[in-house]
Amino acid sequence: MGRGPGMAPPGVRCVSGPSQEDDAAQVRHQLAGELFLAAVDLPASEQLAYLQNQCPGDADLVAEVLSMVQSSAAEEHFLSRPILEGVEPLRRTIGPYRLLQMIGEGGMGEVWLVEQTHPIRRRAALKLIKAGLATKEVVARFESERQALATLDHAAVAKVFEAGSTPDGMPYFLMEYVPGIPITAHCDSHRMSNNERLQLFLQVCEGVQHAHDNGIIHRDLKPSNILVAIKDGVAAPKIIDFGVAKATSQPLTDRTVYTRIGSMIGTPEYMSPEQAGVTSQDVDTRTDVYSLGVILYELLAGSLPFDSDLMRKSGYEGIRRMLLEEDPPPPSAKLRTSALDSQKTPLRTVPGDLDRITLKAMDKDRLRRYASPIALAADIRRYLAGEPVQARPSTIGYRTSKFVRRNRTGVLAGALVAAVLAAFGFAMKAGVFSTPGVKVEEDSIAVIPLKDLGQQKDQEHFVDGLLEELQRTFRRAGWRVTYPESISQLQDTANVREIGRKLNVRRVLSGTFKRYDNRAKISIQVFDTADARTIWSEDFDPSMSDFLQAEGEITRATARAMGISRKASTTIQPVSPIAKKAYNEGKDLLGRNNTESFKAAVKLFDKSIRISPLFAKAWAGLAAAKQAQANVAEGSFADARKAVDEALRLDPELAEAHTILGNIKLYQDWDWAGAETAFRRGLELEPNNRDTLFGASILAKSQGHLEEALELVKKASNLNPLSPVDQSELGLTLHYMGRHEEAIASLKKSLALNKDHGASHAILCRAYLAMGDAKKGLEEALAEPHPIFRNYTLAMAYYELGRTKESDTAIAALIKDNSKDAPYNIAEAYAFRGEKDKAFEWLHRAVAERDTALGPEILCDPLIAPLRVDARFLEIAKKMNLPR
Amino acid sequence: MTDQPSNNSHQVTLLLQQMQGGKPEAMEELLPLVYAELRKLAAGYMKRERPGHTLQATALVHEAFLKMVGGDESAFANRSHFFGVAASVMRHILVDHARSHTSGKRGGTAPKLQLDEALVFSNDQSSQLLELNDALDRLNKLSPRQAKIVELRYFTGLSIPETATVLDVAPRTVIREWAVAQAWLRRELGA
Repeated sequence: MGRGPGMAPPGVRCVSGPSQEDDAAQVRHQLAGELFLAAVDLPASEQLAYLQNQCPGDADLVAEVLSMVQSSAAEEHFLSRPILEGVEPLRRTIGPYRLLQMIGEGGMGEVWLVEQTHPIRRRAALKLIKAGLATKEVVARFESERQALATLDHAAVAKVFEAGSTPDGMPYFLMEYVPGIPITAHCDSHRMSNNERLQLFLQVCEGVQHAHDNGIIHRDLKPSNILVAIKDGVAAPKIIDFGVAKATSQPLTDRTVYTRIGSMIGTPEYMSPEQAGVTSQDVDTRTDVYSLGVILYELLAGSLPFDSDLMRKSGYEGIRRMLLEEDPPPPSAKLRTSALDSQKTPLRTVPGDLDRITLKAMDKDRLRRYASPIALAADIRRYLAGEPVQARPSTIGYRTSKFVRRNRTGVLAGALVAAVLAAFGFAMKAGVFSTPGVKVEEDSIAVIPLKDLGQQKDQEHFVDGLLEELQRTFRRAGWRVTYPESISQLQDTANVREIGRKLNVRRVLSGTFKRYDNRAKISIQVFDTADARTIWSEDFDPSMSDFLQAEGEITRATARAMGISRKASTTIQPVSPIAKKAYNEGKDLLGRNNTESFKAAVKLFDKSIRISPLFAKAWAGLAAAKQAQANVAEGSFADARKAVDEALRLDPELAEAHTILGNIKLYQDWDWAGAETAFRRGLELEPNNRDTLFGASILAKSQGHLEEALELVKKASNLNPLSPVDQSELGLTLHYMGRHEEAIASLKKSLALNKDHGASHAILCRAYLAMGDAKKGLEEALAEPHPIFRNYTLAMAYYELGRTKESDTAIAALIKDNSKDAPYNIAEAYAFRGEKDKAFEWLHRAVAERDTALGPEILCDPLIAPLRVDARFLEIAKKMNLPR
Repeated sequence: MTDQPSNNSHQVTLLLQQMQGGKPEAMEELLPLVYAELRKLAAGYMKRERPGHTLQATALVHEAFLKMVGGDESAFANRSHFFGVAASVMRHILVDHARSHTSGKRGGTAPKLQLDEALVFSNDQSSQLLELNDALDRLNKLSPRQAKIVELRYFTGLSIPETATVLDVAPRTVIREWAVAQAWLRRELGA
């Protein structure tokens, strides 16, 4: 720097600033800087005079610069060293344990996932007890139980490895790490039935019994201490924290209750009355039986017996009074009232025996409770076997009714079943509960949108990309993956078995997610629809900034778990989240199938591409949207073609792009061989892509190969069983083949799925006309909502009924409104009426207008049959490059 | 892992070129990519460092750059541009980190960010950093260049010549502006 006194540059003068305020402030700041640099090297005694001399009349500026000069004179300042030089990395080890990740935090301390390297290498959960609890006492108490804890060896009990204290005096426990979720959350997210819940609960009872047998009482059983982890595809509960409560517990007083509530121990909701009592030393194994009762209650009723909020508000005395005096409602009643409150139909009901078992386990008088966890388990087993339960005064009437009910099944089998079989035997052979004749293969799956557990429910878009990747990965591995349109037809309340039946799939993938600021929690489960069993379950907690990468990791983990080799998993290009979001929204709009939504979709795909020009799928989306627009004469095929070329250049393995290319070649170019190549390539990449199969079916139809078309459209609709579109196309193909009855069934199914689906009524009309039922045909034509389809079928139905005038009117309306977009349908109507000349005239116009209906229909449409044998047809076939 | 350099680097290079070509929206896309890379590297860094070593932000950014552009030579012309973006990102990450410290809300069961596990700020450091962040916003209104210099020097640990290269100005200018910026901030922060 070294500028001498008096050498301030000539520009340093107090001048009035420009008009704009910001600019003025910037100029002033620059001026202050110059003055500062000049003044800072002057002797302190000369600084004030220098500044006053430079800025006469601006005392504020003088003061500002002077204070800058003075503050810079102070010594070391934090700014003078880059921030990270002053930051120490966290001490990442405690004793022989390397801290990997914090997995829990509560009033009592922190829980870390750690890696132990010595004496053996393993992962474990390290529970650090917050300073404040008397360390020595905690460790001593733990020591006294340590031997016993070490002997615990049960599948449902997490191992306790050791206890000690850190060099700076924090007590800690080292336990088996259980990567699972609380039992209640597990059951709810899997929509488990009562019996499935009971099966898990029985294992918990056995684990607790095992500890009791070894002289250990848990004292703090609650769902968050009973984690369900999936091991080898089977859900298994594991109880954690044995020994912790005893070592860390303090006498419960009015003073301590507040520190204990909400902390990791002594959660009042699951605390037995004797634990809440004054003489809290006096607890025995039956305190665990009580807590098990509350957990069973929660599993069955879906909520706790006492209102948690009320409990927490009422303080120590209130809790004590509730636990000692208040009788909880039976679980069945609780389930009903909470269903009423939330205005939902409960998914389950709780039978009286389970009510009684639960309340017996929770009896305030421990003498009246089950004597042990295993006694509770035994009664549950009796219930499951349909035998009389203990939790009931044993009256003779009860026993008899139960016995009769149990044995009625046998009676039925003997006497009635024969008659039933006589009537329905064939149905039972084919399997009443699955779609007859269709084998449900193992590698078929429905990917259900994940449930947003957030308050706002506005984060759906961010998992859309993940769902798409999952579907794509399964498809590429040759799985049959249900098309999203059919998924959207499912009711929210559908359970796994129902989904399996409706969509004809063996596997269902579903789960939940929640976004917390910059993190997300994603939980994914895969179920077997045959028995609603969970095959695989895993939790992920990606950071939002890494989310694109996380999509890849989650997809790979899922694929691996389903036995799909890595090769089939797709690599995800890094794409901006904003671009992804626009893409997902565009896809959504595209699926809505109307001209307005096509337009909006184009905009969104454009945006996505602008941000991420290398995003192949966005180009494919744009192509699909442009093509959809061109199909309704609102856009150009040229744009669609350009976009699809770009998509394929960026990702030559994008099946959806090959499909779009095939469609363009089919509908627009009449390049049949080119379309075939594109669809073949698409099906090589994804043999079970609904769009490709659908396109290939139309191509087969265009070449007059109806058998093949039927096979392909059946495959497509098997992937998309709840789609009105697919059922309608299936119906059309069957009708073309002369299989009218089957056609009518498909078309009716289409209308049951969407009563306003355009074309289905029209095709029904044609089927009835072909069967000679003109009256029914007219009814259907009148019911058709789409004006083009309505008019051309009306023209035919009226003509058949001899109402020529009305038929003329319908044709006239069609010509007036749709001469450009429906010349082919006009030709069909004239052909039906036997007016060949007119029919040919309109066929030629259809060729000239490149009517998109022309290609798919002309060779197999029975209405055109009389024209196809006419010599004039050769000219049309030639123009369309059709096979002879 | 999906960090196949080909895909990523191609895109990063393209974005850098777009930014240089005056397309600010490219920044929108580059930020999350740089952000993710820096975070990932920071966590890996901590594992490799011996105890007692401190985190070197500059090394981190260098490594992120090399990872993200791969061997693409044309990208090397954009290195300084990348540092400009990375400096903003580093500031963001560290301020977020400090904020989560002071708010005391360490998110219940939500697992923490990787960097949070790798660094410990004292309470003083955290609040100091937040105050600095606000003051820096104010400085940015008065002199965007000075604010950028602070990001590069303080948050990224660049030397004077490195800073000069990134900003494409003479080192002397950096020396002068850095002195002014420090004095102004020290006054603002009441030091």
